[in-house]
Amino acid sequence: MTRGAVVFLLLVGMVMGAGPALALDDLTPYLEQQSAAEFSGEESIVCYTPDGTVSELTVVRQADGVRVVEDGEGAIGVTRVYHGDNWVLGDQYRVEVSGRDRFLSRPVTVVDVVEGDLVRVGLFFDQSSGALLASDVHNADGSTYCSSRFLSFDPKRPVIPDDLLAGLTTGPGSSEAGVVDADAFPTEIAGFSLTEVYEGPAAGVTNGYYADGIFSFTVFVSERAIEVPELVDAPVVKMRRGEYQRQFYPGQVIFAWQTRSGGIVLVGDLPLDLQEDVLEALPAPGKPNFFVRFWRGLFG
Amino acid sequence: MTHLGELLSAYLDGEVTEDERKLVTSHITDCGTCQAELADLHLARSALRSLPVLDLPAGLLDGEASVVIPLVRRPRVWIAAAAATVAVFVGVATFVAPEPTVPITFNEISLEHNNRSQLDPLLTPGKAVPPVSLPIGGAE
Ligand SMILES: [Zn+2]
Repeated sequence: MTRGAVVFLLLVGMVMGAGPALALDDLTPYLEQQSAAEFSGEESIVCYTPDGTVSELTVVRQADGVRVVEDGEGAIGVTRVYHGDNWVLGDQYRVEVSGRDRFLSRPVTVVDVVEGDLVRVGLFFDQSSGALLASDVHNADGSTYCSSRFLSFDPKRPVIPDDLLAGLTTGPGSSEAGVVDADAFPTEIAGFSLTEVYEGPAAGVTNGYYADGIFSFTVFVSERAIEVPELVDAPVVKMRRGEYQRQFYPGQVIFAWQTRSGGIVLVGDLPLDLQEDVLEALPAPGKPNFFVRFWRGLFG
Repeated sequence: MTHLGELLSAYLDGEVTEDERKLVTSHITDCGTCQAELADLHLARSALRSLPVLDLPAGLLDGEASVVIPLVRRPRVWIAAAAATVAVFVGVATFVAPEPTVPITFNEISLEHNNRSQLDPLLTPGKAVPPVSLPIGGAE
């Protein structure tokens, strides 16, 4: 389908007030509907990693563009959800509406994000509410990396207590963007585009946020080694360019390593093969040389 | 309908073949019984994870089983010279090290990243990220 035809169909859909049941080869309408959806439910996330399986059951509530996620241990995360204008899908992907199905006895539209011959991601959107009810992420060899499934789903507007909104994070653009040297980060890493450069959360730490429209990662860079207390017992893994500390969480992976000139931490939702590709494009693990250490010993 | 039973547990453990994984993910789509069972399994696992680590009973490790024989050697002149050299190196190394580090917690990392990944379809809808603890209502 040509881009013109897509735009035309989109406009027709908007004029006719089409609901969530669009069937376009474009992810944007689905993402917009998903961020506007109001629902609650229990969601199961399972990821298959080289260090074993990590899984979690969370209770999710979403209303008024705010998403509240609670895990089984009482931790609460509150984030704003929206679909912004600056979202761009990487050239490597094409979007295919592969069919209609039922999930939790509800009609869903199945949208595949395809990369070459590989269905990289399968998304199951609820036709009535627009919510994403299930997703499957695949590695380059076709094996599953992560699966998410709502085990229960209530399309009624949930109540989100005001005290939770007090801790709401504000989203991109709220940081120290612009005060740091953006040239320090390559504009592209392994097919991911540099979207934002900012400083924090500690002094002297500069961060680059990279996205390809489907996956994303942030690189935290410091001239000193970065110490993440939660990674103290994390496994050390040998990869193509050296050794990294690596910890998998449901839907997220963290790598930390020291380079010849400081420390780097990477966090993101990349499948296994993309983890390797990205690490390969970043400075390799290494010990700072004697003079760097000596200099820091003198001047901090 | 035949339910998944043991296969659910294997699914959470990652001990299933790709075909079995597909069977599980498609079956739980519409089977309330297995959905409930999978939820229970998740909860049981998170309960296990949050169990306190037990201290070993005193005496279990430092009992008679372990006997330490101290090694005593007489210093010689060349050993003293070598020791002095090592001391100089250790002194320099101590001056240069420990390497100063920047501490950042996992929550800080996760929060910064998640703030920006709201445009990421897998993080925004559907797949939850590890919740970031806030200083309110039951946070850690
Ligand atoms: Zn069943």
